[in-house]
Amino acid sequence: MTQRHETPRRPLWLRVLGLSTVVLFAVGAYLALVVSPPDVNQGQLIRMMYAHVSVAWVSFVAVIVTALYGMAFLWRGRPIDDTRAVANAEIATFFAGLTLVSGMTYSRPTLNTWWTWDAKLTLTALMFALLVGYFVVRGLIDDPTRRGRVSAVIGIVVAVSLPFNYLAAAWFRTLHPTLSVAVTGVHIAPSMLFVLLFNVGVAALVYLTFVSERIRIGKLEHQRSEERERREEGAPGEVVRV
Amino acid sequence: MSELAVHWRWVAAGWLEVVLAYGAYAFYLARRARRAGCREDER
Repeated sequence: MTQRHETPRRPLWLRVLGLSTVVLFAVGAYLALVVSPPDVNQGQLIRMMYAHVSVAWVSFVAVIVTALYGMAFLWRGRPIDDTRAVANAEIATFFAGLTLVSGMTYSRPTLNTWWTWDAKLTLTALMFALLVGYFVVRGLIDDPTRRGRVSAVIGIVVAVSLPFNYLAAAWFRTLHPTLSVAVTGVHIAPSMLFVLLFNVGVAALVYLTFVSERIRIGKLEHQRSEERERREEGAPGEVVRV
Repeated sequence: MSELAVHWRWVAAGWLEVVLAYGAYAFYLARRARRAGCREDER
């Protein structure tokens, strides 16, 4: 029999964060679709760049945070670090997948192809495949400590690939455009840079909202599984009320 | 169809897929949160 329990309400700060994110997303879309000037080469198609680049950068952030919580789990062994690492890995997978799909939609009208085995594209596809592998491996291991350790190592491996992914566009000059915003300089008009950074900020807020909610769910699920284990341990001598 | 109209269709498609993906993931999280509030009780 399934018994319904009251789901704990989202904390106020999380609801405010979610609502602010929706409003700022609308502002970011307005800036990208209306305010931003057209590009001298790409024309109106440049407006897709704001959506694509912002999700790509945030996928990198999510991978780095996954690796950091993975390291924390390897060091301290606290289950909460594993819960946080998994939440970040799930959102990194989501953003990496969205980067690939939005990149293909952007690439078709600008570069006349959906896909090519360019170094940056291949490394991004590899990152996505490794993140999917992270969850496949987790599903194969029953012991929570071992599962956390193995997936932490995979998370770190994905993070190690990031610098190569970031620099691939500069090292291998093939189809993917080179870096417009780099440590060495910014090669983008100030009006476009503002719109880009605003949309990156909005994507970061989307990430924060999703990851906070996902961690809250992870904690709830952990709590429920502990309750279930306790019930199963006490079951033989216990009088169960129906 | 003019080149400008074609460009705008691609731009709309690019933004729409991001909006749909965010919406779908938010929906998945909401469902999972509701499920996490349930537990299976043995009779």
